[in-house]
Amino acid sequence: MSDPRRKSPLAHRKALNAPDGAVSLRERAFLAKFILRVSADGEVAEVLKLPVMANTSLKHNGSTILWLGPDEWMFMAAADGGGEMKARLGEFLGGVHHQLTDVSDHYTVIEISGRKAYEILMKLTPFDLHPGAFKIGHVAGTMFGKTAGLIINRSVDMPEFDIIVRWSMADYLWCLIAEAGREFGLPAQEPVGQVRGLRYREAS
Amino acid sequence: MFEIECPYCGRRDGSEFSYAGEAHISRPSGDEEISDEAWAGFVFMCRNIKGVQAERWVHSAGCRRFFNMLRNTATDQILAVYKMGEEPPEVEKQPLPSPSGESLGSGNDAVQVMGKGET
Repeated sequence: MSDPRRKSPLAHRKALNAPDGAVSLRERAFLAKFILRVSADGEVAEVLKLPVMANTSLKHNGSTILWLGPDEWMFMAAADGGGEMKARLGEFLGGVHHQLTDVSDHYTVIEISGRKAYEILMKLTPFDLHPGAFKIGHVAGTMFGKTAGLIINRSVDMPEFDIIVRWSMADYLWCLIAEAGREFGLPAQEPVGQVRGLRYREAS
Repeated sequence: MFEIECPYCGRRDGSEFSYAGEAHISRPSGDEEISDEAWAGFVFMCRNIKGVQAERWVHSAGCRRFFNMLRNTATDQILAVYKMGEEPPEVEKQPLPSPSGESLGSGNDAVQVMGKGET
């Protein structure tokens, strides 16, 4: 993290842990994220190790590359790795028709892990998260409640998912996941809008 | 609720998609000289047939790509999905008759229009 004044969209939330490790929720703030749009034809895909198969991701040189569309990929790296990644991409892409956008502050990442993560996410999305269909390393853009999000299956021993969500919808999704996890012991979270006084007046 | 086969992402829930109007209509050329009538025809006068129609859809929550679809507007049956710029494939139009001979999916049974001579 370059600047200590940076504030993540979920800075007012603390990581949540259900008893017995059933499920944990935390924000992975400030990850460097870039969206690259380039034609997959030619040798660019090979040089940059772009995952050309739909809904897959690859790890390469410390960054994770996610398939977003037939000509669109997201590069993710650690918070302080953005500059280096951008320079490396720029080096490869010189002379190639492309668009590279820094979206580090457009999205944040919510990590949900634990053996009950499936059950919680199944309540929120119409997407088929069954491990037979949504394999490790796979990526999918779908809906979570009212917000669009990009989910990545990062499971190793335990179910573990990253959800990439827009900055302004992060608090909504956080509270939604906490609410869905209450039966497994996650504490209820009060949405920010209500704290700021948007609560409906109670009938007198 | 129904599922749609995105040509890029595969089969997904219908709520991830948005309808994006009629397919295969071309924008009138000649930006400034174009008549109001021609422009209104392009913007507003869409076909709205009961039966198989070519439509544009967008996978708005997924890969955010537009594609075309042949859909039966009466039954929601999806006959074909194909990419932008491609010609609509030949499909066999199935009438799906009901036991009484009337085509299925005619909407609210209470407001069905009676044919001539029917009582």
